[in-house]
Amino acid sequence: MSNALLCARRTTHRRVTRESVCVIGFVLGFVFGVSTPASSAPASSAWARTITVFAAASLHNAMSDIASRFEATHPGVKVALNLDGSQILETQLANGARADVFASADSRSMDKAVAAGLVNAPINFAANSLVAIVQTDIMAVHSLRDLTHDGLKVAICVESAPCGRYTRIALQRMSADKAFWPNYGKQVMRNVVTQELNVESIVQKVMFGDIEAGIVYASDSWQKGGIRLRTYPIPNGDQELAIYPIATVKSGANADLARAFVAYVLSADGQSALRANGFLPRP
Amino acid sequence: MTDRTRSSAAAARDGFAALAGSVFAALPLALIAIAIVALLARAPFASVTGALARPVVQQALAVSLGTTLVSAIAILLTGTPLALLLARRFPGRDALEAFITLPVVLPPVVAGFALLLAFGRFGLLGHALSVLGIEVPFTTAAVILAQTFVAAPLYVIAAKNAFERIDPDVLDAAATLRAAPVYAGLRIVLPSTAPALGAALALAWARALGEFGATITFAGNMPGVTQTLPIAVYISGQSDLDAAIAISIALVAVSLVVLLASRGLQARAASR
Repeated sequence: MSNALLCARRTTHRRVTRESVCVIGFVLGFVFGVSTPASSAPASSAWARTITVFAAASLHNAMSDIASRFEATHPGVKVALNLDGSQILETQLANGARADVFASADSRSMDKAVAAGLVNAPINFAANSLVAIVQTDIMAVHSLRDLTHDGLKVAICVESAPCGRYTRIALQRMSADKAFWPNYGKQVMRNVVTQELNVESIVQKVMFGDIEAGIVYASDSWQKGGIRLRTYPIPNGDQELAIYPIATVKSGANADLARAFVAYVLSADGQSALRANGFLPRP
Repeated sequence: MTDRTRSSAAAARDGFAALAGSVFAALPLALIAIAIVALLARAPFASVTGALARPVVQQALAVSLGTTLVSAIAILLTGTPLALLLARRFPGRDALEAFITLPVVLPPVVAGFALLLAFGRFGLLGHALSVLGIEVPFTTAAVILAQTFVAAPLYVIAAKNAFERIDPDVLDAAATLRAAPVYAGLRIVLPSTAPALGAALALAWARALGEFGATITFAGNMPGVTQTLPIAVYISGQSDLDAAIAISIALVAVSLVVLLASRGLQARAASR
């Protein structure tokens, strides 16, 4: 509104600078208007409380479901989700980011947080397995074996991300598996054109169409598959299941709500939401 | 008497204004200084040189130097005619200039998405390109395109300003003497604007070197192919903080040198 006024009242001299101010103002307004979701609107009522949940990117759909169910059963409570690679979330926590709950996609990031005294004792709440996702219009791929097809564009996670570590373990074990061949892993890696920091950006890039196949968690393809994506599960014997631990954050301002949220994730309700989004039962 | 009191009051007022002014002027300076000092304080010198010798860092350095060199040449060759055009007055010039400046203020991620929607397999031009067997996204060419997209406006606008400062009388005189436009361009326009163009290109090059958001969206992250220094900082920041800090310091040093060179060239341009 103020931008529009400023632009409308433009005087003739110094027109160029005034115009660029208008343009910058509009663009900034647009950017900040869309890039500050839940955090900028804390609550409509004064007594509402917000808990912040840091969750691995692969939990996107499941945690969104759990959050809205939790909000429905806890009137006046809002759940703000911060979704990213577990290792990024851990770094954010270590650097003082405010959170109440931390849900990681592997024990490594969680162990780091525990060792640094950032979180209380964690508890495993879900497991996840790897699948290959392939665009439906890629005719060259009919099985996992075809991921080695010459010139196929494949995306996997970077090694430092849990999904990247599990992917490399799986490729190594598949190379030793009789259903594949000794060079299998190397040939798949040769087709990798980008290494992403989290599974979400792999799914997004495959859906965009420029990356033809990717290795992600079963929980991702479960929700977004169907129209554009085919999935090929990696044999259970060839992979190390991803175990997801959850913990309350020590510096959190809502300890009671944080405990209630973790309890809800572990409850039958929370577990069924996870199952509906492709996760395996907690070990 | 009254004059003297008035002037001393004015002097006091000026002094106060100068003091307040310098305090506020120091704030942005302090913000920049504290961030750079924090970066330097975290890295012992030995670990910086050690980290810079790692293959990952060397690869990223090679990708960054190669791509920014090509981007700078592309910006020079395509940006100069555009700047010459913009230096003339014509209807809609201001709007065109605002449009060209857009990539500077756009969030780089948006720029990356826009490029993907243009050159991607299902993009506006992507289909035509794939028929020709050209695939841009997630290649080194995509890195160059992203860098050129975000950095070119800095060069074009600065070059336009330099061209506008050329005395029109000199050009008129050249025309009166029947000098061919190419001759006038090479003997009059280029020599008098070269330092300013160099300064503008250095600035654009520094921006291209720092490009991150558009690159990771449009070109992805592949060591040795699309992983530039800023992307290496981000990726290794998750696991190898020493390497991330070392590359960051190298980038700060290089950027500072380029900006100083740019200022030097600007000063030379101004003294002409």
